[in-house]
Amino acid sequence: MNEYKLVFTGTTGAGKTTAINAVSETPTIKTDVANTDASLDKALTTVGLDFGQISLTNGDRIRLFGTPGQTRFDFMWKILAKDAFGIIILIDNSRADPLADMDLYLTGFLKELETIPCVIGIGRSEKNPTPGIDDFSIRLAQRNLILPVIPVDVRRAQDVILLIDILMAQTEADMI
Amino acid sequence: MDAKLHLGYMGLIKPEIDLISTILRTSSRLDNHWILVDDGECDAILTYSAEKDFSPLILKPEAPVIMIKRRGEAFSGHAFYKPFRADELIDTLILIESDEQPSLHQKNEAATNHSHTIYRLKKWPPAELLSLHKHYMLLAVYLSRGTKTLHDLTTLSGHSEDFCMQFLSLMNQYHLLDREAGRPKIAPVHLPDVAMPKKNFFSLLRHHLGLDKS
Repeated sequence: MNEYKLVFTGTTGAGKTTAINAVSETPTIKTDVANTDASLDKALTTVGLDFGQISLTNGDRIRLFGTPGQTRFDFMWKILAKDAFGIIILIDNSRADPLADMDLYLTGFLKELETIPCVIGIGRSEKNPTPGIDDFSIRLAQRNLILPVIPVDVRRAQDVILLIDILMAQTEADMI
Repeated sequence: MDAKLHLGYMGLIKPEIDLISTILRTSSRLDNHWILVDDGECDAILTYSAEKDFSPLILKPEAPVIMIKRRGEAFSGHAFYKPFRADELIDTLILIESDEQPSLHQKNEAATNHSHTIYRLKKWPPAELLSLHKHYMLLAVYLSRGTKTLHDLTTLSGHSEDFCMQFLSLMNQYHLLDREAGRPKIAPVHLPDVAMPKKNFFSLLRHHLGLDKS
């Protein structure tokens, strides 16, 4: 039996917990507390990590980890990303500066992104079309990164599955 | 064959025109027999509209109209269904051509000439281009992870050379592609820090997630 790790990261409120819930076979184990940040429209926020799981028929397991969004917990990002087979960065496009948010996580995972497949999911882009999807690609190119950027609604399992499919495609491409 | 066949178009948007033009230019099966035109006499017309007035295009007598339809829409004549699949347009044009000319064409060597060229994306493609076909996204993903040959792309994606070549040409047309003649790399990339999954892991996970690789 092999175990693989998949990391969901992104700002507070970007939907990491929801995304894990969308594909996890077990209810997500959360470490949420009451939100004290008045700028966030949510009652609870994750301060530790979220955990979900997918089991395959051969016994292999994929552990799904959601990082805490707050930057004061950024020491945990690298711990969680170690040996991961993919990193999903979720961006909330309704926030003040989504491009800066992406920058924050790209910088936080800079070393890991040299080898670990990564995809960027942009949430709430229908109601908040600016910056556009291509603006994120341009920002990535300015950092010499070529990463898939797609609009997502993490409440829809199919959108989360597409993110995972893209990570698998990246890994397969690395194998050839 | 010396004379080109003319495929007229009406009501298409620029990315669609670019895509179809790329298909006509790069398909080895079509052997560069067709060109896309927006006026003058044509051997077939590609259109969204059922109107019979095609001006400034002039449809040759007995020449067919290829209607653009949504996939799943019932239609008895020549049709090109959205989301577009290059192989379907190619099949239709070869059928039309064979009505005009008795022999079908031999595959030329164009495709094999591409087999040793290596490609790599310069940047992630605009969303508008990727939306032209549901499978373009994954092809872009494959090309974003280091250099790949046409053969690599067909192996990874399971799509035909024509389809992958059409995608490569589109990327090249928008200056998104680095190309160079060379030998495909033999050794896989060494990624010491990554827990590289076994290949059957992907098929099992795809099955679990309800993904159809094809």
